[in-house]
Amino acid sequence: MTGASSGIGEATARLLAQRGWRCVLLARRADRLRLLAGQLDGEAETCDVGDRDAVAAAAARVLARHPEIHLVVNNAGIPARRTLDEVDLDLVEEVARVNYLGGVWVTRALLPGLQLAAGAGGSHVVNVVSIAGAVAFAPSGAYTAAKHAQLAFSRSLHATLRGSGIDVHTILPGYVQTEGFPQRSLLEHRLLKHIVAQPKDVAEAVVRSVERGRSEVVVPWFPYRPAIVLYGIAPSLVSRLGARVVRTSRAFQAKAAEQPPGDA
Amino acid sequence: MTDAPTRGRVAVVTGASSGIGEATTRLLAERGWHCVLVARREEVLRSLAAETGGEIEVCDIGDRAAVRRTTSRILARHPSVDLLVNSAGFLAQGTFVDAPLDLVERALAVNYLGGVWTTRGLLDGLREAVRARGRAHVVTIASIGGAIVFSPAAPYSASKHAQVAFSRSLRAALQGTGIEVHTIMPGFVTTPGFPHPKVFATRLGRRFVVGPERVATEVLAAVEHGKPEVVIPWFPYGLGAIAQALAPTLTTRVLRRADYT
Repeated sequence: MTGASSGIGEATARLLAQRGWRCVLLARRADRLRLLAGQLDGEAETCDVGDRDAVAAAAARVLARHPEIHLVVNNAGIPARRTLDEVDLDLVEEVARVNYLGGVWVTRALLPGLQLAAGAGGSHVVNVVSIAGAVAFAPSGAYTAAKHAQLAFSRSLHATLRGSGIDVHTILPGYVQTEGFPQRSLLEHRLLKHIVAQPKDVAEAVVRSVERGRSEVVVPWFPYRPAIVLYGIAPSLVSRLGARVVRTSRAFQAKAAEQPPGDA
Repeated sequence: MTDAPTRGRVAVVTGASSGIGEATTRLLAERGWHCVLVARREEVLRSLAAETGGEIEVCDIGDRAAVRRTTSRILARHPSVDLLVNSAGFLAQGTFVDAPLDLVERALAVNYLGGVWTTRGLLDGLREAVRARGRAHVVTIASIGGAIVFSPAAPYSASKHAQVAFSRSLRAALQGTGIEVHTIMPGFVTTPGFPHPKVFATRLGRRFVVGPERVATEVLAAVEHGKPEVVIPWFPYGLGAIAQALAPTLTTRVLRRADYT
């Protein structure tokens, strides 16, 4: 489990541990990871998944302890809440490394363990993507691009490994309220608060996808699954809506900037 | 369509040394655009620049520092850039199980990040063109592989997915600024460096392959008529994108069979 120190990763690790899985938790924050590993009777591996060498080293340590890996959950991800004409270019690279390449490296490095377990009853890879991987979301331009790449990775890996005993599952959550991805403004909205899910909803989707062999799960199904279909048919229309969100949020930020501090 | 409105306008074309980039450069030059040709191969660029009356910039689009130097040199010569065509790209074959990891990274750098760096590097020039003439354009030569998952060239398809999302969300972010962003999604095109799966060698398959000149024509049409997105040819590739949205797993599984060997 990558990105296990908080949010969806933490919730999923807790649920898996409850169901009797032995969890190896990967994340950057060693102290939080050790605390959670202690609670779940799991193991901690401090690792930045955006660092290819660090991933190779962590994976080698995990494989030395556990030659068979039954499940890899690629969940580590960071936000980039700016449009692509403004976002810091270092962040564009970092978000691509963590959200997309990190999953590739982790999966490839643990593949021998997955293959060994596949021969002995089956193994699974779960990629926690995002609805932003299927629908371009302009206010988080670099994030949505990285998630698009990750979605393509997950879907093509599924096709490639079909019949190998390694099942690949794609989870597409919409807005989820987590520490790394706070959704304050949405939760304050009378109607929009209903489209914000909790980490445990996604954790349940992860476990369900593995137990029932579902290749793709959108959480929650409504309104996000219809949005994906609409976007596939009329991408420009959905992009125009995105442009409106950008304009609205810019106007909102400009208004907020005019207000004296402490008045928010 | 006359030459007059475009004469003297500046177009920067990346990946200009061959394929779609080359064809687009030739067509733009014919229509009176002044082209800055960007690519790695100096000799090829030089002879094309001599033919088209343009300038050259030798640059590896997958190298962020090189792109920064190149774009500042271009802006020093041309403070106003009317059109940027992000055409640099290469095919990274293989699956996520067997592709070398360096290739996965390189595909992302050239096919996606390079376009981000070039666009950001030239943004001031595009804004200047808007001030001078009311409008500027960014054209992204993506691929239908950026909307449909193609596992026989998985690192390519993933990088193109990122590029499509970049292009679409940049369009939304720049709406109302006078900078228009166009996403071009060709299917299989007969260009050097892009071999086709064997299915396209059949009589039916050949009908779904176009030449780079056709893509160049569509690039100009998109700019002239303000089209946000073009799939070339729409049949069958546009249908493929819809199939991907409706039945993603099935679509990807079917396309897995179209291997290159």
